[in-house]
Amino acid sequence: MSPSMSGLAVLVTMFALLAAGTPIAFTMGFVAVAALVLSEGWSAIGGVSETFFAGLANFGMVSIPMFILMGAAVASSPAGKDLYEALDRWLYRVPGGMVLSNIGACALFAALSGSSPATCAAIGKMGIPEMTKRGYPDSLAAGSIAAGGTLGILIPPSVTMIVYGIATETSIGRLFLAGLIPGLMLTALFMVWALFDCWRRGLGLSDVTRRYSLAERLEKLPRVLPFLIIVALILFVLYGGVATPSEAAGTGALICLVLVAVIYRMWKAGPMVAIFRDTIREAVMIMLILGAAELFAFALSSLFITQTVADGIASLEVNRWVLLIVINIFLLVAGFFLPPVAIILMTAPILMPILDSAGFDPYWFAVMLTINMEIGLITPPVGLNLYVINGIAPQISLRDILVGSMPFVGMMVLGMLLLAVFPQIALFLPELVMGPAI
Amino acid sequence: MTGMSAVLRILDGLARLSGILAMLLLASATVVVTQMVIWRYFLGASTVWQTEYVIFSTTAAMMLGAPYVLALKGHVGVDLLVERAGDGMRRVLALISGLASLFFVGALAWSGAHFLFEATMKGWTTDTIWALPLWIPFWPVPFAFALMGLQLVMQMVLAVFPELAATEGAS
Amino acid sequence: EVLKASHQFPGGKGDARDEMVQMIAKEVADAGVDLEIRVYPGESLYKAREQWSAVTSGQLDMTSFPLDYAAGRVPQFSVTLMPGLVRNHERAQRLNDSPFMEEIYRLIEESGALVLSDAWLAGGFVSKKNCITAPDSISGQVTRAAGPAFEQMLVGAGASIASMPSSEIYTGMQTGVLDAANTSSGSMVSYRLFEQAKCLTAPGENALWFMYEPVLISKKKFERLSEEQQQALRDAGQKAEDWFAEQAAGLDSKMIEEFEKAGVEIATMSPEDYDAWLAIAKETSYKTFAEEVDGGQQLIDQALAVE
Ligand code: NA
Ligand code: NA
Repeated sequence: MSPSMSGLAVLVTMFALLAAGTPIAFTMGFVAVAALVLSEGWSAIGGVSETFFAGLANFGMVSIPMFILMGAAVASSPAGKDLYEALDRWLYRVPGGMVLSNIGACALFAALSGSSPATCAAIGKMGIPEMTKRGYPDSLAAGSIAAGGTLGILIPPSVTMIVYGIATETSIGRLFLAGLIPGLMLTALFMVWALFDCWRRGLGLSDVTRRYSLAERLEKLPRVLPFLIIVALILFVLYGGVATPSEAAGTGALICLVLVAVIYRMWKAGPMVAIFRDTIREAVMIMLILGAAELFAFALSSLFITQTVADGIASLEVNRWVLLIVINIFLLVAGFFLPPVAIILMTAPILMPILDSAGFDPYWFAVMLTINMEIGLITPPVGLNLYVINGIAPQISLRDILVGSMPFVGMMVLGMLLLAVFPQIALFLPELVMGPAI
Repeated sequence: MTGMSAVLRILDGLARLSGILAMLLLASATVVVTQMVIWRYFLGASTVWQTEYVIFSTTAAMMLGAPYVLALKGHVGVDLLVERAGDGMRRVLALISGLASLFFVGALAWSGAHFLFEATMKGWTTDTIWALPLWIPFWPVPFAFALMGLQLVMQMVLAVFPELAATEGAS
Repeated sequence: EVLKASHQFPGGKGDARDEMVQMIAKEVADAGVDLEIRVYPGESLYKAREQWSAVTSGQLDMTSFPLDYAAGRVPQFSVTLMPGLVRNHERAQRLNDSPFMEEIYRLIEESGALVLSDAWLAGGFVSKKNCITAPDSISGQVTRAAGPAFEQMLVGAGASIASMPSSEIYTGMQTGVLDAANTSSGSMVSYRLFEQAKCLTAPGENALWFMYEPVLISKKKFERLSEEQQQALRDAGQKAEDWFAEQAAGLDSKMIEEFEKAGVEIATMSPEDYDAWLAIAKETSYKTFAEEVDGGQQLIDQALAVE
């Protein structure tokens, strides 16, 4: 079979199995192993466990569960609630102030969590009920949290950036820095929309039943301190010459566990087990997909599919901006169905040489890719954040969540356009801190 | 208690045990990595075995966690079509996805067992100063995937013959 | 017939090891023996360290492979990244025809692979603090070494070891996690360590760091090929080996050029520095190797016996 024919067979089998409800990790694993067996005989199975194991057993990969643990520790504590309350006392007189508080809390929480579903769950658990209680429509409450949660993978640390760094051999520390300003930009864009939407509907002022004095506003601020301390500590570990990003993940996780235990008195076995259970649940799901994607990439390369597709695209010799638009559409569509890590691992070997020859900066592209992935997280059929919202606020219909998320998707597209026109939004900070890229 | 529910209980117990081990390994990795950073940054001491420990204990945690997450139905997939399908169709889809999953999981379990045997017999080690025997970090691979294989078989049986679970429950 | 050749180095960018494999592929194609070699560069098929079991089991046909990576499987291979065993490129040539290499070839063949081309790559030290020459010049610096044998010697010289993949060296030095590193000339340039280093210790006449990175072919596969195909592969392998031997010293000067351009100070080790390191190596890495590996002492003696 020619590489393009086998490529088509792989694609069809994958869609069929996904449609039958097969978990993504098992789908990719099945397609990979079956393709290898068909092309090279049963002896090909002998090597799959080593490929799978080698794909996961490296220092970059193991930082993923660590960053997830870090987020899970803080998410299990009332820190998110404190954060959100403290913000609310300052923003309550702005139309939609409560929505703004939630988006802001998501952005701050994202600085401690490498994953979007975790960010979503941590802030949404109290954010959504509070918003609906004060009369905000379900769609806006759910949509703002779904979108705010996606900041988890753009504002560092970020699991998808780590995977991208490993797949493309780019610096993870640099990728983190590249995501920071675009992350803040998206936060601002989200807030602008929320502000406009609430003002348009006349929301968020009638419910102000009491006013907060300056003393009351300051009173809650110390509760935000633990957050800021952790963020500062981790930034110090990361960029102060103490540890590499991978090491910072583990150290950060332990710092968070200890602070949460001390400040919120959560040192009992129960809460600790719950933190680890949540971590294992999310991390294993991601890592199994990563391991299977490793096999998948191996099979595609072995059958020469990757190389054929890459050569095919490269030989089109299209305008670089057309190329970028095509790639973005492709990523968006892939994002509808697959979680970010799987997409990055599957497409990086194909996309990187093409982008390289078209002269796009890999760090800038990482940010574009991440925003694409963020959109995927809040669009059906596979939108992890949608599932999370559905889990924490079952009374809100999926339709409402989607309607609420759409304007924020628009903001993300706007963000991507800004980045395409002004790449410095992403590249300025890494160049300032770490010098020109290698 | 009948055979069916006994098997279910044993598999569940094993998955849970595996999950607890995974949590402990992950916790130990965070402690070791922090120790390494402190040793090196504050004491300027050599850190030789720690990186390897962190890599292998975390990888082992992810492997051992996999059956546990499977028991919790935590491996994410696309349920759109399945949720709309009728009863009969649902069984067919469950069978298809179960068999595909089983093929992959079985291949890894078999390949892993083979690799484990070779590594143990030939005394392979990691290629670092620590020279850890390779079977120590590797055993969770065949173990976890074999266990998941059994879990998948049970899930398929119950999906195709839901009445089995019902009668079990009654007895 | 298609053979798959895998390696970890960047493809088509002038890396000498990639060029060796490409050269073999081209020569074999030109020989017209109905044999095509498909090259998978830059870990696009197997991960660097996985290549050994793949090529020895017959899953993979060919690889350009740093042999020390397989030291976990064949402990004797540590000797191919042992400090001070090679010293310079001329001596590397003489080593290739010695009983020492006979033994290495035998071990490779016993595991299921054959050597098509020999290649010894030199390397050096970079530091953010000072030039690494005599052993005491590295004392107290956090260093990343390339393998256990070097780590043992560096600890013996009073350095602190941080183990991390070579891809993290740059960030490590940049953030200050690392003071110094010890790696191949090729990695020095491709990871742009000249942007971080204050001083480079180039290989020169007294290089501590040499690594054996031969082009291997699966024995199983090789024996299944026809007589003409085998001969075409052997000829191509020899040609690539000769080409590399001519290039080897040039790789070092290319590295020096890059570092000089970046304003990095360049040093080399004097014979006295070299002997002082060797004395430490004998007490640390050589000793451990001799004690823990079957025939270890003999391998070291054989290598040192070469003029
Ligand atoms: Na984040
Ligand atoms: Na989606």
